[in-house]
Amino acid sequence: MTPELPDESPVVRYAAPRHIHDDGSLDGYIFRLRPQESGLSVPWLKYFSHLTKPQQLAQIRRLSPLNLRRNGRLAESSVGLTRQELPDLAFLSQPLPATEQSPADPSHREIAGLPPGASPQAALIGDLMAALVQNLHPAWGEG
Amino acid sequence: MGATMPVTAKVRHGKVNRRTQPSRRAGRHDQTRPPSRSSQLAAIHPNHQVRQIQPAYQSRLRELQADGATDGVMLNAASEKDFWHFVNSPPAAGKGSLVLLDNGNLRALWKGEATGQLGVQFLGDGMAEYVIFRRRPEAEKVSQAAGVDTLDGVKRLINAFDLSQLAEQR
Repeated sequence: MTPELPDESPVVRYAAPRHIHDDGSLDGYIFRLRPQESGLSVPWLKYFSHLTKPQQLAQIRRLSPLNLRRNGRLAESSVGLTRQELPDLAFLSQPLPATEQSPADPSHREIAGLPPGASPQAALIGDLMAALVQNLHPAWGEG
Repeated sequence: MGATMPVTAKVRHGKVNRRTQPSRRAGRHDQTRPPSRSSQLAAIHPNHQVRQIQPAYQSRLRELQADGATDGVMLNAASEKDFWHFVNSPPAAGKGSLVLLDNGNLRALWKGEATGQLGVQFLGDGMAEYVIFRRRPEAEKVSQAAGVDTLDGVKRLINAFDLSQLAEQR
């Protein structure tokens, strides 16, 4: 049985520039499953609990297998708040092994329990999750 | 690929322009500052607002197309066509915010702090996926609705959820 994250844990999700609205808010689309996905990738910041927040974010950026864009954002959400609003979701530990393209990511977690991404239910949940985002961080390092 | 505007809308606006154009002779002797042409048009023609925000939409579309090209995502022409059809007529004539999805479709979002929000993904072929959050002062919980409907069907929902003010605001 995969252990779930504690409520006080923040997780982050990458948003590409074209998924960011004029007012800087994120579109709920970033919280929808893509075809062939069974869970939503969300690195867990507190995995690096010995580091400061900026250092944690730097680690997330370094380990991400995604091509992070300069104007993209890392959206930080609270596990507890998300679970409170959407109790059917589970935050599961899914460390990523190293590949030829990217190093291993032990902080990787997945949100399970989401409906198929192309469904209206996924659109509704995506918009709810976007409304629960607490902080936005640059996808590229600040210094 | 540039954004297009239906020809019928251009014709309609053209008529309004001619009707409201003040004569040069009258303007020369007018000592008070006349209301701006923009406000005159807005007062008599609700679709003037649509025309005013079209450059903003077109600029945003160019930006999204460039971003999409970087990610290997092409704008779906059928989605764009439906988007223009939708925003060129009430009650969705106000300025929404646009994003480009991985499937090439456009999604527009209208938000109002007091009222709620409306999200519409333009699927092409006159169909749209909508998400509605509606706040009402007398209710503790936010009403939620999501589904797929025709563009006209979504417009009827805007009225049914009393969101026309949200969709019309600039």
